[in-house]
Amino acid sequence: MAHNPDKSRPPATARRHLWAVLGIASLLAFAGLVPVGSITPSADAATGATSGVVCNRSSANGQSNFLLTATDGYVTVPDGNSIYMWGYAYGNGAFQLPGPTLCVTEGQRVNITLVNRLSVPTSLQLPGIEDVLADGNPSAPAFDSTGKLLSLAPPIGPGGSTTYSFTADRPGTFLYESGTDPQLQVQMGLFGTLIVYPAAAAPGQADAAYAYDTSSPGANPGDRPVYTGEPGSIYSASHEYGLTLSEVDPDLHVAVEQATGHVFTSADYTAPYHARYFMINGRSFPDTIAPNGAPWLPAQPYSALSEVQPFDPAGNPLPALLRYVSVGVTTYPFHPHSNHERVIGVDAHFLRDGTADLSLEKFAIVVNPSSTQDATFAWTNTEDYEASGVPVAVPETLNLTTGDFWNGTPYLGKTGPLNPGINQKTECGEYYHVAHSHDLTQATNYGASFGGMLTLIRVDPPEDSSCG
Amino acid sequence: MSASMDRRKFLTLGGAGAVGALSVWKLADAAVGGLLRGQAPPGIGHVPAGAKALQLVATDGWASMPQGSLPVDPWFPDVMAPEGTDTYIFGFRNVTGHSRAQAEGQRGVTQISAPLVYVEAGKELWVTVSNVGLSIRPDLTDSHTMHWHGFRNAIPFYDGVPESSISVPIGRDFTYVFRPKADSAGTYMYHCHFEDVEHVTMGMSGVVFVTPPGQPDRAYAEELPDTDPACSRFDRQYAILLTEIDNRGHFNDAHIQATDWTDFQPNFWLMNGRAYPDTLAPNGAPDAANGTPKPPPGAGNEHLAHQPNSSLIVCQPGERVLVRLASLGFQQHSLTLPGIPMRIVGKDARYVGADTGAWVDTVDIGPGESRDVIFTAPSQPGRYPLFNRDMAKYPGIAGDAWHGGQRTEVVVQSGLDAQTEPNGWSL
Repeated sequence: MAHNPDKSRPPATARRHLWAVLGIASLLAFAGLVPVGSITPSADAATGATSGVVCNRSSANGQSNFLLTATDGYVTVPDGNSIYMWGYAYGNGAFQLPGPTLCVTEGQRVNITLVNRLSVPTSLQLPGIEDVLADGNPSAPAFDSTGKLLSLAPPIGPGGSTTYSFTADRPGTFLYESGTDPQLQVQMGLFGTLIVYPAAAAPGQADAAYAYDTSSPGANPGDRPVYTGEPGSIYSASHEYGLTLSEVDPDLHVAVEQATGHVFTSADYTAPYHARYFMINGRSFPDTIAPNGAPWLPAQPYSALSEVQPFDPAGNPLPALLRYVSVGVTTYPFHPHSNHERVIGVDAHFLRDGTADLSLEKFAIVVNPSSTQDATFAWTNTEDYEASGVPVAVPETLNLTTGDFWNGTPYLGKTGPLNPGINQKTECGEYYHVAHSHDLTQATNYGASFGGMLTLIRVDPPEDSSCG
Repeated sequence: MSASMDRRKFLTLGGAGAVGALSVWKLADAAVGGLLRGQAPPGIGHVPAGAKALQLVATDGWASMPQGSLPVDPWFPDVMAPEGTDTYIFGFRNVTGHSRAQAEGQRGVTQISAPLVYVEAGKELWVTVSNVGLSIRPDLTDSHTMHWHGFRNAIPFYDGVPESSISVPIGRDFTYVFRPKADSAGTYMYHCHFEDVEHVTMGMSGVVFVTPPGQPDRAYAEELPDTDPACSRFDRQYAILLTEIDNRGHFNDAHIQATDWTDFQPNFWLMNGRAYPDTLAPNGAPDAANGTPKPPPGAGNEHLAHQPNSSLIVCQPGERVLVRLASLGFQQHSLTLPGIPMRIVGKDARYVGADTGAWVDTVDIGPGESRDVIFTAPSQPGRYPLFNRDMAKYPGIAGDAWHGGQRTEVVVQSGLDAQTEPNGWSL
């Protein structure tokens, strides 16, 4: 489901100012470093939503049909570097990182045609999806005559194409990635997210959705199964976020770029693998908080900013949903500040066993390579300091170092002055909390702090504040 | 951070941080002028009844890896290190109850790991952070913060992230107020978030935990009998913080050199700021009169004056022992305790009961995670090693392959007094 800002959130006009400020700052940082190649934002990414999951849907007659093109292009990182990547374009569109988020509904037949415009064989694998067909035959690993594994799925030569078909038989967050020379090709950027939404009817509550359901056979043979939403998976449909975690060794990418036309395998790269850039949705902080489809990030369409308002049992009872995907080579210890998140699903399996609730609140969301986790998140204004005041006098700002994402006060929805020279980023006193890898070497851009695999959680004031 | 110009460049590269760097410089000018030196820490003096109030001083200093460690030329031992030390560090020290002048006098005297802190759920914890500057790097104007890692429903003002909040400049104090709610029991961490990768690995990290309301002998609010695997009652509790040291970064900070933190590759692995065999030495403690650090008692411990936190677990046969594990290193670790089954009762300060708890022989823990583990001490007195099972994480020396790594021991013996403080020493 696409991220649709609802009326309870600040109007887009008010928010544009922030993005304009950030955009200009980023553009200045990248001055003169426009990526090479013809890169335009995916048409589907231009939904107007500032952040949240951007769904690509292509559903007709109970089927979903997608076209992906494996191609190459460039991404930018915040220190000004431009990195050669491979990636999945949507349809015949331009290269993007990560690949387009594909959204289908449980029970649908899904057909994904992959066209290979790379100079090397490639293929698609979908961890957790069973009974995948490739052009009508089982999509099985390919071995050569000596028994050596060639590819996890039948390889597609340069210029060729294959259609992968499967039934999306359970809801949850999946990933798709290259099944050929994955040591190299996944690192190069051949990955994306597949979301299977449950077939169960949504809860009656406004804006509510289920992330998971259970199905049982219909009364008679041939009847549609009976789908029942999982109450523990209810979330706010307008607050659904995807966080795909990855990393880049820039030397490896240069080696691949310079070997264009050469059939490159991981064995060609003999230097020790050493990641320097760490990404969420193909972006490093501060680009992670730029909006979906930001024009200055033409090949990196997906924002990683998440936005909530304080939990309120009457007015705002639904948690946000965060869909974590890791395509890295190491386990990422992702630490959201501000509150625990409740992990409700791992690898598209709901964490319930009979009556036993196996979900768990965590302050580190530990995502393994090629794995996914779904987590719900809410933040509660437990102290309501806006009414009582903080118990210690707030020092004058001259006696503090003030951050540009601080609203200048302890209070939600209030603003106060920052120190001279600090360009305040807040619009209406909203809070910002960071969320980042707690391998803090990964929360850097090539070693420089406050970058890399880091994003912000924006907590907007309640509706009746000056934000409205 | 590195030299001043490098530092500006770094922050400019970070994009959003660029303007922050400028403000630090302006404030530093004011701080050097000592405009507000001598003022009382704000907040101290009107702490509410029942609250715990602490003052931590943030500064730099020197610590020592185990005696006899192999040199890593030119980074270790640091040629600038004062006698008896070998590694440049940043850290927090407890100066609660001392005068402002005494706190200022602690510049250049610090410790790893930070003091062990705990509070009962429902009560308040007030922590005043006093930044007194860096003795070895007066050119650096780094602010400091306290981030309570995992604190529920935090507000940015008390979350300690410089970019989205405030940080404490040199010569200033700031009081963080924490009000952990009744459901907040568990093991957390705290650390400085200013230029986080640097300040955390330099040593500004410690354990903070919350006890359930009215149940100081349980990790979580439950009333299960000891026979229930999900019971969190204990007779003794010990907290162990896992960190790592890459001496190149420590050397570079002391010698005004920049570090590419993506090169991080540790050469020592620590428990509570010490590597084996120092992990087994008893707690040190500052001199009560003037706060000067003192090494732990016993011959051979003279080099540990700035690493006061022991990791030795001492218990009697049959006692239930809670081990609070927290990691503020950058690597994934697995700890094992051969011969003694362990039950995980908490993860990330959340009770894991019958459904999600587990009996384990190895505890996995990653950066920024915590685990609460209970075991029953064997009936047989003796020494039971507790160690990192990744054998590649021991630098080792001739004759002792464990040297320099994360290894401690559970010592089971009779005739002990009841435990009065976690780890025998905490705030």
